[in-house]
Amino acid sequence: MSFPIIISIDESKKKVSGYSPSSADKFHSQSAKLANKDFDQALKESNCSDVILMCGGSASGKTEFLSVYLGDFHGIIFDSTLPTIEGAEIKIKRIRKAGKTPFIYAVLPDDIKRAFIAFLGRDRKFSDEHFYRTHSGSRMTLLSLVKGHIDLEVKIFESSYVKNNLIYKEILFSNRKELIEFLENNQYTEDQVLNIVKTI
Amino acid sequence: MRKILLKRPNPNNPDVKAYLSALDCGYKSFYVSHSSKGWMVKKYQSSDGLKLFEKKQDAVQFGKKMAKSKKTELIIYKKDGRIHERNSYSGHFISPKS
Repeated sequence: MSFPIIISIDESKKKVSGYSPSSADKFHSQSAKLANKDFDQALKESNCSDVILMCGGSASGKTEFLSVYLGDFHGIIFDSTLPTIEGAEIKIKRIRKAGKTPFIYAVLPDDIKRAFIAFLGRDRKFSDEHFYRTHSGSRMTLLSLVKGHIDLEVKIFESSYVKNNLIYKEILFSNRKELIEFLENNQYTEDQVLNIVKTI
Repeated sequence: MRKILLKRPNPNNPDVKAYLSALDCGYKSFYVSHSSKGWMVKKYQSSDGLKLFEKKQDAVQFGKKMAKSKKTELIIYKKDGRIHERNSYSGHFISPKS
């Protein structure tokens, strides 16, 4: 078995019959189920001990981050936005039940508008609602997980677009309280995300 | 709180390249949106191609012409700021209406 084992909802879409990038939205639910099934299988069958759950709104730069920095990770990586608290809690429970350790790697764009432009320019097309939902939901999920799981290791990375390149910074916090304050100050409702990006 | 810059990604990494290409596409696309002055046709966060119309259909017509000539995309907004329709004239694919 070669590592990392990467399970991606977007990659799972390609396995669905009739899929085309221009209607990615229609296949999202089905591919999410497929990815969850693959995830459960990987948890059961792999002998690694660590599992990373990626987190962050659509087009934040998560897949690109893991492609650049996590190529040598000896474990499972679930590449998704982690848009709901419920979904994240289920995954963490399943990871622990499999005797493995969960980690959360969140990628937050320094500029949500830039993420929106990349979202609009991608081959796989989703409704704009998907963007607002995932950027709002993933932040809410992240805050909930940090508050609710004291022992859960969470890493926050910031993506930026600088001089025609994508760059990343890791945001380090003195303590958990500082991390929680940061996340509390960076929550957005879906309407707030819409209001940020709608100004052309 | 502090931020530590990570090693710069290789821009030839296929995933990074795809992201940068998507950004490029997004910046080159034309957008029809409503403002207090009427319906605008422009590129995102740029005054390039800015033109104002009283009627949305005229703005859309102009936007389609621009997007076709530049082989890029046209994104049409509703008055509330949500996207109404997206059409690609890049020749890669045709997007369905939202």
